[in-house]
Amino acid sequence: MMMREVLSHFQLTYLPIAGMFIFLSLFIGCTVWVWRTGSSQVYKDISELPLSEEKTA
Amino acid sequence: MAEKQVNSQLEQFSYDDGIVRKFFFATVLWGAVAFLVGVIIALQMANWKFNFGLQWITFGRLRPLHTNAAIFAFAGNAVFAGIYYSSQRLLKARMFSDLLSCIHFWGWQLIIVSAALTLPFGITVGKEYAELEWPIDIGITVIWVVFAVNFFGTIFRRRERHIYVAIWFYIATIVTVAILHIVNSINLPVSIWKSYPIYAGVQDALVQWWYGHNAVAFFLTTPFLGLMYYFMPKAAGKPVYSYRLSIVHFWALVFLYIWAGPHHLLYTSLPDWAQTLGSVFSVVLIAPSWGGMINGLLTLRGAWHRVREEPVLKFFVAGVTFYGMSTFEGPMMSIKSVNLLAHYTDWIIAHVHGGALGWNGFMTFGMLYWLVPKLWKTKLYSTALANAHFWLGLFGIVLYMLSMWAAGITQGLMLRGLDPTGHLLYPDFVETVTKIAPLFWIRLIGGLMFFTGFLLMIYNLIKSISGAEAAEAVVHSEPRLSPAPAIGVKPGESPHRIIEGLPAIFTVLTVVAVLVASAMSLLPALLSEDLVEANPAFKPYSALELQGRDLYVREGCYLCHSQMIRPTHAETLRYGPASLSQESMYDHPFQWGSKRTGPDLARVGGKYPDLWHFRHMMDPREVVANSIMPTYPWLYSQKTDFGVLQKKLSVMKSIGVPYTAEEIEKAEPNAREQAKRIAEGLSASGVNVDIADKEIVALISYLQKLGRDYRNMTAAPGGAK
Repeated sequence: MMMREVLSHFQLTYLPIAGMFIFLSLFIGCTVWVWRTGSSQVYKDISELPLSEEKTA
Repeated sequence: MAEKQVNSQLEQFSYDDGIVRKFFFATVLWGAVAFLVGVIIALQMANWKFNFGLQWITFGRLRPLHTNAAIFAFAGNAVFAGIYYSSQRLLKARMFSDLLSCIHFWGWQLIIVSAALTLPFGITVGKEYAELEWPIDIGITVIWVVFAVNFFGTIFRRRERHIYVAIWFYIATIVTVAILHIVNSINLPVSIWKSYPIYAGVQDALVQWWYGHNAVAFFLTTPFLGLMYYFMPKAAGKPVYSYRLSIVHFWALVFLYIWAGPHHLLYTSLPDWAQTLGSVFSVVLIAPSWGGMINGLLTLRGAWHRVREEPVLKFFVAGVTFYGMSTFEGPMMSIKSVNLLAHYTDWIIAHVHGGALGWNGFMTFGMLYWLVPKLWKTKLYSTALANAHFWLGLFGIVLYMLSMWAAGITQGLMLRGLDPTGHLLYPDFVETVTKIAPLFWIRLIGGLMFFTGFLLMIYNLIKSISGAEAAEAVVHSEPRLSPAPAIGVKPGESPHRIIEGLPAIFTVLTVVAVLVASAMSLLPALLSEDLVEANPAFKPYSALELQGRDLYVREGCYLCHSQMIRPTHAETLRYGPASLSQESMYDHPFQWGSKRTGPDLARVGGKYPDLWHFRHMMDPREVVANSIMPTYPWLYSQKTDFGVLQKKLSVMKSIGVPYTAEEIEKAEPNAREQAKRIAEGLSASGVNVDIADKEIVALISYLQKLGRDYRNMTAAPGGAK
């Protein structure tokens, strides 16, 4: 009941703004991280995984 | 050989390709069924006579069969084939359990057969893409859990530390589909084949389109993206263009998709904030979607010349291009002003088929053409036939989409057209239908071309397989995986890499992304008491009206008629003031619809006499010249099931509909009395048969209820609020 009361009086228009903020933070953080310097070789190796199976036979 | 330890370092194992072959056959079989039924209902749209007056094959019953077969049978089996093949190789491990694989396969086929046997009999919940009744829903849940255990068990037994991006997409698919299916399928049973959703009206609409939109996202998009990230590099012989982009693509997509569901409910009585939320996130979705598309297409860098010669690459390139087109068109249609024109029209049908036939269909075909020679150690029988399949399919889709775009935009513009005096240019709805009816024939030709191409593929693959034996299992040797590293940055390993190495944490993060978005977009609407303001003017359905409503659901009327008047000048001129959320507050399930092949019915009650409805359902053309609606002769011979009404009202009461104890107790006699009154009225109008106990009377009672409470409220002293 308490949750219902809180939500009944919650300013719902904040939700899109909060959602966008969370998403943008995640997106920017993720983008900055994967393009950090010195990570090229790591990702190059990983991206070869689908092509590596024949070598294991 | 399953698994064998050679020495302390090396283990020998082989992949289970038998299960992949099984899912391949199922994909082909159910694809044929889905496309054939699609062609049949396209024919019925072009000419109503092809409904043949038979209830089991009438449009309203076959259409759910078509969508379920296309999504869960054709695409579903294709996804499983691709997942079982690629996961074993990417994880360097045989599937966790051959028995679970087998249960998954046969269980899924049993579910599909159950759907194929129940939907034509009108056994349906009445929610698009979630039509299957509760026993089948439980079956889906069980089989999905089996699949999940088998999949995650394989991950935990893997011999490759890193979990490749394709596996991430599979994980997101498995956990999210489970959440979507369970939340949207919470129904209360009346009998073995009848149940009511616990949600009603606007809340049911929000939950349903949270499910519906994300079923497209996590059943038809994320698993196919996983397949794209595995099979395109394999076919091209090159690694994915940018692995970094794939990481951003994954997290952005998983986080964003869930929010966008309400774009299916723009201009409805859903709260405005929820509509805005859906619109905004839909437009933002272009970014990750196109990131994925570009990543897929650029994987072919330096290999584009091979697209000319290799059918597999042709299908993949076209498939990914259709993905890009659909994920641009979808967000555009989520902009309110565009949606106002597109929604409820054939434009939506064009959009859906661009994704389903172009993206899911072509990616599947490309995968099958690539897989069959590998699985049977053979060569493709005919490259020329595969190329013919490609061009037939491509032109078929283009013809389909062009005709439906033209139909949708034409009808949308006609429905909103006003003359200089501000009156409707086309006040008769049927005018807008007859105008676009020729385009239904062009759609049929497009569908036939696509289906013909598919049949060519079946012939080609069967010829390829015939004479060839299933490839013997190759024995692989790989070192056992050392224990997973502890959380924390180690020299040379990034935190994301470590998360990827810890599937449980990775899965939890994915679930958190999905749940946070779901909670923020759903919970306020589910829990807020202010969402639908109670109004005593709006009363629950009488027992007979409820039975009539169930017939309306059974016949799939919601597939062609909406019950939601949008707040626009043209719609209020045509149908009356915009719909209120209270009008559907007792609707389990809601019946707002998503397509108007016929007019909106939210206020049809009282607009025509009972006799009009009686004649209309017998032959719509008796009262609406040029109508393309099928006939429903069985409603005049089948008897209304009065005996179940007490139970139905009782179940409805337990999910919040305020029936009194007396109403429940006297459900049957009250319904019979109401039916008798309607029959007497019809008799006085010249109907010379005793029809009080026939289904048509129950349906008429329901149709006459629609909008009646609104009309009474506005007519009462004080008028509308």
